[in-house]
Amino acid sequence: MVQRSLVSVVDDDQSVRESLPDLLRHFGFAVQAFSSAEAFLASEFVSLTKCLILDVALVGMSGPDLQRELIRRRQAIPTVFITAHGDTSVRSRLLALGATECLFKPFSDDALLDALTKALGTR
Amino acid sequence: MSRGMPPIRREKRTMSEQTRIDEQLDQLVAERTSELAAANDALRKELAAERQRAEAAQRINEGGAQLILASIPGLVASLTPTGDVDFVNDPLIEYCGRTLEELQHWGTGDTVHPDDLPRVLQIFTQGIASGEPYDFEARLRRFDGAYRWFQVRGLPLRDVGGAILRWYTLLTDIDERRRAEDALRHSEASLRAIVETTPECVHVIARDGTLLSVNAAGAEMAGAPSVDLMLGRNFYDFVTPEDRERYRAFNESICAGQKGFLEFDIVRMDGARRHLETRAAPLRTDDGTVAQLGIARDITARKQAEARLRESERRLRELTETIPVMLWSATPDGAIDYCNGRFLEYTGLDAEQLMGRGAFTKVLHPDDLDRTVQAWLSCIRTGAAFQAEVRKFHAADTAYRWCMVNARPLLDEHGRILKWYGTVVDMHDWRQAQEELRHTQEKLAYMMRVTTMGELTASIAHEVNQPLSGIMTNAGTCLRMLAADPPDVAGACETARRTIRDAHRASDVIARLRALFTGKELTTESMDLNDATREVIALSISDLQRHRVMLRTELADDLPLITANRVQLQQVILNLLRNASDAMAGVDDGRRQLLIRTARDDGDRVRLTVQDVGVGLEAHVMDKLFQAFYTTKSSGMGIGLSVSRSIIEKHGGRLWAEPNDGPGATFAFSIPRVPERTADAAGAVRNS
Repeated sequence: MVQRSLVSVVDDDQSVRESLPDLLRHFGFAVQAFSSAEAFLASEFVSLTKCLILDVALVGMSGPDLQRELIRRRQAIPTVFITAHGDTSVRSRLLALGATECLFKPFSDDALLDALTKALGTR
Repeated sequence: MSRGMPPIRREKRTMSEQTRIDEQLDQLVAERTSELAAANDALRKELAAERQRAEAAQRINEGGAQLILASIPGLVASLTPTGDVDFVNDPLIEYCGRTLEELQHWGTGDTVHPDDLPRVLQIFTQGIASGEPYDFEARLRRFDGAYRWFQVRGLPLRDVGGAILRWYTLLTDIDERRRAEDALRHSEASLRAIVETTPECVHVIARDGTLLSVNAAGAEMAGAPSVDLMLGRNFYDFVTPEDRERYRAFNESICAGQKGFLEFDIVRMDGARRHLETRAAPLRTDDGTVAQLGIARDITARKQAEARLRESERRLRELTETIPVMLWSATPDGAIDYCNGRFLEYTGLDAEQLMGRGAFTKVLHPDDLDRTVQAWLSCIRTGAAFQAEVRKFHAADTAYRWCMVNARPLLDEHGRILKWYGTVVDMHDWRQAQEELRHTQEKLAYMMRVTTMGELTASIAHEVNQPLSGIMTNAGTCLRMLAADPPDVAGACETARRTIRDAHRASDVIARLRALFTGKELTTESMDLNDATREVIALSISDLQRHRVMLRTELADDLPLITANRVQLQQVILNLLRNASDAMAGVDDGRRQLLIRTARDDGDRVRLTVQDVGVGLEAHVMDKLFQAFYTTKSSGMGIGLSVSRSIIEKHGGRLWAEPNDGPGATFAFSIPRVPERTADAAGAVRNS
């Protein structure tokens, strides 16, 4: 079996951290879930992560902060933002900053798969 | 007068003898008789000659006297030895305008002044009786009725035997002299009275300090019980030791012929110390020496008053110069006539530059000039108090700073302006702080609105979206697990369980929201809706002014107290005010009018209406207006009116909106004076 791509989920909402990994694994990805940006940065998975599913409004360092920090470290990872604060202006701003996609919660499994595919450039 | 021998008689004795004796006797008698007759005759001749001589002499004498009396220019009368007038000269007749016969009765008429007559009669009668010359002064009536003073002198003329032949009386007109004497006497008396009654000390002091003369006031001033106790004492002893030498020099200079003035202290006889001032001039005394004539005045009280005044002035100056406020005054026509030091220091100008009409404009910011001058001129005309916020030149940092200028007129009893008194207070820092405060308030108000409305909705969305997101993901995963070959039933069951759990979470969020909006209990208090409204207006007035909204209030006088939640009602009123203000943002300046009105309503209710002239309400928005998340504004979440209606309904009342006849809309609520039952009201909100 080929090495599965690692997708990391960073969200402070527990139900997201529980539900998303199951779905992603079902899609065939390896998954690591983190409750904060700081926990992710402190882990050994930063360089292994092929795609980042990142909540915007995190407690502490926010999603966009993490993205900028990674760019600063020259460790930019294709990122799909997810947010419960639905606002089109937020979406366009994030995309302008280099995000692959920005999904508004709640989003469908198909929308997530499309975003991942786009992020990994596997389609 | 006859002289002769007595007749000789004899007795008859014998004829012869008798005859012889008779013959002898007759012979003797004849001899003797002849002898006597010759002597008698000689004597008679001698007497007649004597009489002729005397009569001649008298005739000559009297004739001469009459002639002299008639011709002298004085007034003369002659009287018989018994005092009857038998002659008056022409001048006397002319003076009196009376005849000799009339003048003969002077003792009973008005020739002599009635006040003088008794005295005159007494002197006159005594003189006639005693034969001594008399001399008195009396007023005699002139032909025209005027009385003039005369000196009247009477001298008796006696014959050789000393018998009074007649009285001569000379009347000399002494009226002028008498009047002069009277005047002098009067004038002296007046002077003495003046000296004695003057409250100032009048004194004469010799060169060596001896007090020669002093008036009663002087004795009193020195605390002496009487003038006598003062006289002869050395005045230097009264002068305080520290002033004594100065006073001695002063006294000696006066006695040397100088005039002078001196202030000095004395110690009274009762030990009290007084401050005197004296003016003095040299006075030549009867013995030819020169003394000091001085007038001294006790100026202790005046000195004390002056000292008090000086002290009071000093304090006032201290006050006006140290008070941290610029002070100024102006004449009734508005010309500055005083600025305190702080004012000068602040503006960096000197007093001359700031005095006068219009000088004040030199320190004003050009943009404030017109309105300030207009306002000031208007106050000068009407006498109204002046107040203006102006930018005033501040020398220290060569910049204009905001100042508050106040002035009030001082009026006389007729209401005319006597003077303007004003202050200038630098309130630049305060104003800036106020401006900042206003900004902060605005931001805070905005934050509050965002927090209570916008952030609430955002958090609602977030709170609901999170579990929804979990539900969808889990449901998707569940389907995919079941559709797999072979189906992952255990995984599907797990995700389905998580779906149910997330659905409960979403439900909990909704329940929490409802609790947030409705609350379980309505805490109420007795309150005045007008007061609550005024508080809200006070809170938002600066906000309204900044948006140039002209607020008018018509708060009913007869509004009863209500039982309600004060804070919640105020939130509603604030919300209505803000909505109205926002609705008028597109209306021209000067026409943004807002009317808040309170009134009694039917059925023991009170009503509050907020009427604006804003964009108004279109028919299709009316039914959605009070729904949550509905808004006509580009910014805003549409929660305010929904929450407001919840609050009003919780009070058992009604909140509604209606378009005006003219532009704008009216929002109103009406609530019962006392909510009927809080529980029902809360239930009504839950059901809606």
